[in-house]
Amino acid sequence: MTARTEPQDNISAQLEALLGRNSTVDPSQLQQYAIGPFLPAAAAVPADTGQVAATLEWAHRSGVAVYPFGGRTLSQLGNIPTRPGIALDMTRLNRLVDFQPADMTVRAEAGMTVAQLDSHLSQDAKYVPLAPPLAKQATIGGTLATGISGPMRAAYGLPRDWLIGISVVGADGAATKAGGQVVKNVTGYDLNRLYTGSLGTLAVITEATFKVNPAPTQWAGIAAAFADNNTAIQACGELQSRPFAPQALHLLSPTAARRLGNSDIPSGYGPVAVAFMAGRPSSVRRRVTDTALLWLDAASTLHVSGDEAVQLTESLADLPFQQQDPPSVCVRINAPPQALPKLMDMDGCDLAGALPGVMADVGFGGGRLIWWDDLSDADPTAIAEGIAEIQAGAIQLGGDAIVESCPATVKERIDVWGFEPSGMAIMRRLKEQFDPDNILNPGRFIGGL
Amino acid sequence: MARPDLLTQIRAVVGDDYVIDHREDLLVYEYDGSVDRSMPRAVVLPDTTDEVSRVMRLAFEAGVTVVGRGSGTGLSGGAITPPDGLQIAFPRMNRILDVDTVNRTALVEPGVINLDLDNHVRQFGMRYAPDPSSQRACSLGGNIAENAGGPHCLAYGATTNHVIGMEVVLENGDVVHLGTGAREAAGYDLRGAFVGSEGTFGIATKILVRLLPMPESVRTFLGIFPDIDSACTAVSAVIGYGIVPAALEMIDALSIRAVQNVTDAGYPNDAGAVLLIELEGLQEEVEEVTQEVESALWDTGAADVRIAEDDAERERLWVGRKTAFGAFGAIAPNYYLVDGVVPRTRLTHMLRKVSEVSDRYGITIANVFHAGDGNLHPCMLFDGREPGVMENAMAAAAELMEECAALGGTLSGEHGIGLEKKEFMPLVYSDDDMAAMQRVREAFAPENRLNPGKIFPDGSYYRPSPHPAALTAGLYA
Repeated sequence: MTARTEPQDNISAQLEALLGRNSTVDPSQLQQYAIGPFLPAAAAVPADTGQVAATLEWAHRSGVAVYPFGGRTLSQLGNIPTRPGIALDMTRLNRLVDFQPADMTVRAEAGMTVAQLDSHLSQDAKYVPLAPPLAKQATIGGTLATGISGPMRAAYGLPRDWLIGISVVGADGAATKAGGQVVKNVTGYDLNRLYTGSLGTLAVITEATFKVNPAPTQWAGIAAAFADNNTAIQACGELQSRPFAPQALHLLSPTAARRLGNSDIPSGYGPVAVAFMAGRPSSVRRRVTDTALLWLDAASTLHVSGDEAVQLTESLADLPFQQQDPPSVCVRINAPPQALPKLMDMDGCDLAGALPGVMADVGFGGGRLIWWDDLSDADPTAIAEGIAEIQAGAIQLGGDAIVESCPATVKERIDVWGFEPSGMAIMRRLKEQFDPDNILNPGRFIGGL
Repeated sequence: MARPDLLTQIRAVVGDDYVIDHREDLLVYEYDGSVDRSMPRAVVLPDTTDEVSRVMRLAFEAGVTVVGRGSGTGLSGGAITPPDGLQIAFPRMNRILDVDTVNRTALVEPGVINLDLDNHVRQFGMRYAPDPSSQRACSLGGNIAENAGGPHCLAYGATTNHVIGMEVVLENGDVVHLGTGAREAAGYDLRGAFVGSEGTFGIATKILVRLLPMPESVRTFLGIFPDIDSACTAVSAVIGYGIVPAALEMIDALSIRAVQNVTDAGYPNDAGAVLLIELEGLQEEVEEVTQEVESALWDTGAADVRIAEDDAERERLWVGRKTAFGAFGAIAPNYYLVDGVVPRTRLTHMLRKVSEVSDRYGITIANVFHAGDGNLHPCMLFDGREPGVMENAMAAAAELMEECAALGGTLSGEHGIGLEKKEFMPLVYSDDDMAAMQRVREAFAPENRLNPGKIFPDGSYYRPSPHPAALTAGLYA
């Protein structure tokens, strides 16, 4: 790995010579691409795949690291960059390439926002349930690269389950594709799944093809407050075992419920269960009615339907990533569903005296711990130790814990990804194979990849 | 292989009874469900992960190729082992280790039969959704290798959508866990890359699968059509209603007659094609969608629409579908099955092409397939003893694969590339695309000792030889 260090001006000038002024960013505007304390030396905003390839080919040749950006909703995810380099802003690649409603497939460039994709699909009553946080800003490429999923994932699956084809530009500038345009495909290895969630460390995603579903014609939500965790967990378990179980079921600690900022959500009492139903009116009606009957004993309930229900799913998705009044620390816990009681008890996890709100995804398993207290003056070592304990605890639960956000002083002291999994040696070899010079998002992913 | 040594060492690991190396005993291991054939040097039947690991380490040190075998039902030559290679098969590792009703998962060994798992978990009100037609025989380990599909993939996805984690043994004998107990895990999705890697990355020794709750209501229909064209139009109409059925299968006239010849599945003998459609969900939802499906079928020219009255009738309709390939045995001793996929709106076009190719090559072709996902299964029926007939079938298959690719489709929807489709990979992928795929194999199996020579074109002339079991048994004398 031979990193040649170039003076910043030189890099900026070279990039401008390569792509033209319209595809580069004025040096005074680079702050938007900061990753914690790290600032890139320049930024490319390519207009098409050709310019992405030219940028990577140049970076490869010059030994300059490349940090890809989508809508910058989750750009802080991962460890702090380990090498100087440039930002690669993909948001100008935002075209709809091919939408075939009758074939139930759609292909779009990676820089298109998920909300734009939704809007194209909704013109033909179609739907791809990506539903990432901040979908108006989040791009398709960023959603795939981070593998981030939304509140409906228990029923609808993860982004990787909808991706049927992908185009990428590799670390050497070569454009390749995997998968295709059909909904069922075992031709060659499944690189769709490999690239999804790889945080841009193997290749830069330029286009994605998804299978689509008919859009649900009705949405509804029920929020119900319970006296304590035990009662709530029992009520959730009961509902999950019924045929009319909702498409999604979340359980929020009182702090997290209050933070949703919906004054109609019963708060200030106990944990709040939020169930979402989507589909045909007949099935949604049945699920709502039977859920309400089952939860008659809940302290108070809120019913929403239609757009209001959709908005509530969005609030739930956005809460951990709010850009106004953002959380100071957010930890995602991946765990099997049976860990729910222990996950809810994690509202006692103390970080420098502050306690988290808990959001649990009952149907899918796992959830998030979120600290909203200002921790900027707290001892970062103490916070780092607290986080390490949580990460060890998550492994005990049969999963892992990823720090999605925290102060930079804390990030220096932790491993965001929490552990090195059993397949770490394979992961290292993958990185060596795809990016031998370590120029793609270096240092930010698991095990320092 | 100067290999008495290696086999002696392997016998010390698994026991004398579990290494097969006599020619007559190896006959059943020289073929799978495809038209390929090659006798391995020996077959090992391990009982534990530790045994698999030790055997693979010994083979690795001896420089010997290893091929995993499930039940040998594969349709692309995935289990075919080179003459000097070692086959590892899993009839002894067939335990269902755990069923977890809270997490809705099952932990199984690779030799567990797909249908046995599904039947076992029904007592807990759950099911294992992927249901390849060979589910009475095929194993979970083989399902992982091929990312097996099945009729119910349409609504629930293929095997990869149902695997949470795996314990796998790599080429050098290392034991690695892919994924955790959670549906999402930090790091690269090695689990996702492994499923469908056709035995080239490693051998799964424990598999954690997701189970689904049983639906409240199930309805199974038979849409009876005068011809293939109108049945294809009906498929588009059902999808156009915004319906994604649990399954949507098409069976053509030739297949109907073949099936009815061996079992009364309730398919009318004079139909041009039937659609087998299944709906699942809440009662009121299924009622509502039933009406929409019925009108879609009548509107597109159905001669009749029948709804299964009870479980027995439902079962009968499905038995017909799932035994079709066996029933073809009464028409011809050999079959060669193509697995191409096209965008759903191109089904009519593609089936006309199949019919045209059938006429031009003079080969009987039956069609039983997953119409809902555009996954065709043109099945060429022939007698492999006739000189030149195999080459003729391969040439016809090549034309069909070329047409699928030209229509924006692909070579294989669920059977894998294996030996028989590898030279066609350039129809859908560039050299650079395939080089990227090979990098993943380099990461999992740097020495390429597992199932080498599959998936990617290497210019080696492919000469299939239909297995002679039926011939030697005198069935077609």
